[in-house]
Amino acid sequence: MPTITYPLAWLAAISLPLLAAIYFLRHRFRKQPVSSLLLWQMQKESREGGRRIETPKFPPIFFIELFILALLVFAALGPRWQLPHTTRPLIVVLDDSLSMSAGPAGQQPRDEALKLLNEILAKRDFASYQLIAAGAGPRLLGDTVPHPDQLKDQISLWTCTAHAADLDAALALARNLRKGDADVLVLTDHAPAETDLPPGRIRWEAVGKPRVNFAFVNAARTPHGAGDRCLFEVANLSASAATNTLRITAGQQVVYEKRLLLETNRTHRVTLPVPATMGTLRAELGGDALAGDNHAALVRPRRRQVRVQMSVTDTNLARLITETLASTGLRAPTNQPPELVIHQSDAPPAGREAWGLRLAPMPEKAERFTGPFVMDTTHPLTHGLTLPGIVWGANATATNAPGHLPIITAGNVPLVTTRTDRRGREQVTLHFAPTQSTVQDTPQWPALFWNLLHWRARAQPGLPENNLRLGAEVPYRPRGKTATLTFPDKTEQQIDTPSGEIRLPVKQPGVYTVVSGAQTNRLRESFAVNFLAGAESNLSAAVTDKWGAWGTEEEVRYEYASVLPYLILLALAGALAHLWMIARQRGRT
Amino acid sequence: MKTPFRQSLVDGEQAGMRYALCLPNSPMSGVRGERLGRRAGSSVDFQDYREYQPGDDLRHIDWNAYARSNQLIVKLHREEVQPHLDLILDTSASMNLPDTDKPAALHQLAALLATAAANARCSQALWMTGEGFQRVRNDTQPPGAWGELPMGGARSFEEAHGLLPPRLRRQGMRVIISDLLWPGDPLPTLRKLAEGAASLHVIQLLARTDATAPEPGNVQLQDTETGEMLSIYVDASIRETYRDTLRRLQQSWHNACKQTGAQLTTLIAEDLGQSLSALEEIQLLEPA
Repeated sequence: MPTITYPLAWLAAISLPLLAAIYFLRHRFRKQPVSSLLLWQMQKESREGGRRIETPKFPPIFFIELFILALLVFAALGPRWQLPHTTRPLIVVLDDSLSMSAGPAGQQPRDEALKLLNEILAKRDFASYQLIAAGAGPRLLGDTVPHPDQLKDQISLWTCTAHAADLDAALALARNLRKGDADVLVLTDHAPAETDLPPGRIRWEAVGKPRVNFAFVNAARTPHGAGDRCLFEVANLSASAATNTLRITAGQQVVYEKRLLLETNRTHRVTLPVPATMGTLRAELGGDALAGDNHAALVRPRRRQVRVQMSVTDTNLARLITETLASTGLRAPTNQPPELVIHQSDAPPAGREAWGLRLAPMPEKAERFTGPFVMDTTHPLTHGLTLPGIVWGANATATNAPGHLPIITAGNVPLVTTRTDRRGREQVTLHFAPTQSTVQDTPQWPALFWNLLHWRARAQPGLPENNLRLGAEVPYRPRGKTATLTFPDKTEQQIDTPSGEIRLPVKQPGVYTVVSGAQTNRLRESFAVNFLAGAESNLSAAVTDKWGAWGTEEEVRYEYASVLPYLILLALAGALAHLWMIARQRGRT
Repeated sequence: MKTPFRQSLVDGEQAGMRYALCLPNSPMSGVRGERLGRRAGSSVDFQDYREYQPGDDLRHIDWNAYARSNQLIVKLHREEVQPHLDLILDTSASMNLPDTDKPAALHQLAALLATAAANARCSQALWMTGEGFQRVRNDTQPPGAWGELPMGGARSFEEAHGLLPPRLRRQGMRVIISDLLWPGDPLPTLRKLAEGAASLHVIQLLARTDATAPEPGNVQLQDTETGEMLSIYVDASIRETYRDTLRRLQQSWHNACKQTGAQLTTLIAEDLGQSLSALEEIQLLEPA
């Protein structure tokens, strides 16, 4: 598409209708009586089909003059045509988050963004076109295409259901795709995080509008004693105070219902103790701008327990550990087949699934370590542990055995180490002299064992958690080589699980079911995925504005070349044809 | 109309004073007059002998022949007749073409020929088209007594002839003045008009706009006789085609005249004053 340098020259276009008017007035049908139409028989037509509407016929020179005038008017506009070799590719980063579908149909940010995109594509050509959907991660919607019409199929893949929009990652991907020489268009509903956009030819177009929206921002269900405790947290993520209705049901039973009046950015928490036998709880909010965040479901959490076998000869230590295990609530009543063996032998315990906790032998005079303790805080065993102020008795001459990963050390003296054996079992070694320690008298001691049992429990087949946020990974340890995942819409997908842990492909909120194993070894679990993204549900910051540009006006002009000489040449050719036709007509008359 | 038709009659009469009708060499018929007729009469010119038949005037018996042959022989003399001109005028609407000298020229030409006929001591009858052919009132009088000819008849020359043909005098001179712009073969009509005529002259009287196509541009043509309209863009090729068509029409009339022994000439109404020599060329007029 050409750009126009002097738009005021459009005024010259008045000459076109003026010329047509002059010709019309000059060439309108003048009435002339004739003695007879006999001599015009060759021009008469049959009137059987009714009277024909006659329109004034203009001579060919009129069209030539019109053509020349149009060319001159076009030339006066200063048109500049885009040059193919200077045209840049276009990469469009589309916000794929749920907030792009806020509002009534036809007025959603997605619709506005598409309208804007079509306007841009109609105004200007690009070397190629590439669409990137910015969800939780960037996603290419298809191959690079040379023509905008070929984007239709790709645009249909832009669904706006993601729980987040990582536009920075999408922009980074865009830069990597074209090494920065592309024009990047960001279509979203909010302003950039920083006023200064990342370097590059980036045009950021926000097409959002602030709307009233309530959303679930938190939902959890955890075992608590014999029952479960459920938490629902609702927030008013609008720019003003608003009301909505929260309704929680379990099957046909209404568990909770309340009309909420919340100030902007305020939350309302509902904590419900429910029996462990109660099935899925579903919470629902009344209609607002964004429907996708108005539902939450909580399924029954699985109560995980670990079968622990005690093989400790030291009765005092055995009693201490047994009591500690009981306090965690994670020890199963039975110990066969064992999943965790606590022992004092040098050899790892037998059993295909048996992890080991070896209590290393202590000298008679163990060293009392008061710190500083070095701890791998990322390890599952150290969650919540704080060791300052305690005394930990251990063998001062102990060294870390080869292949062991130190988890807690006192200087270079290992206190807790782990090793993964060939079967994938974890073998934990604890250097601990109870008579020289105070650690067993602190909350850190049961916490350490809770971490150990929880870590082991998470390694059991099945899901580690049953209620998750959309966007969180859903790890799954199957029984067998395949698993069947049933989606909320009841469609099923067979997943091959060659070994170990897999990640279930969860893309939408709802209640899923996953089944693995066969017959008596069959494991069937349900899990709920909820859209709990407060930042995404917050429509108070939605805005319509734009930031950045694809270069300065001067830079853009370099992409275009003047077509004025060609227009003048064409006009001259038209003038010559005009002269020739006039001369020819004079010769004939 | 540039000049009133009555004035055209006066002008035609004045112009006609300089001419006399050029009478054909062949014997003519007519009322008793000054010209030799084709039948026996009472002139001094001997024509023939024949046997006496009862009822013959005894004064015409050639007694000398009776003395020689003992048979009653009657001496015949040529009759003396007055030649007659039938002037057949096309007064249909096409001859009354607005903004042209065509109707005035028709009046002028009719007056001129009538005066020239009078100069040649011919009797005359004027016929004009209408619902059939009708005599012009006072047509035996000088043109000034005719009054304006009623123009704009709805019938074409051919239709009027089909409805009621003129009662033409046998062995008289006949002159047709028309634009000849009607469809169909001219020969049948011309044959009927030429039948029994001493001579037949056809004068095609055209306006200049008939002879030349309109200027280039969009033109809405209106047939003055039928009222039919035709919108057309006239360019050089159309003008050329028009001229070809007119040429073919005139050629068809020329051929028809050739077959019937008629003389054809074309006059342009606007150039009538300069075109009278053409009437001399076809031996219709001669200086008085």
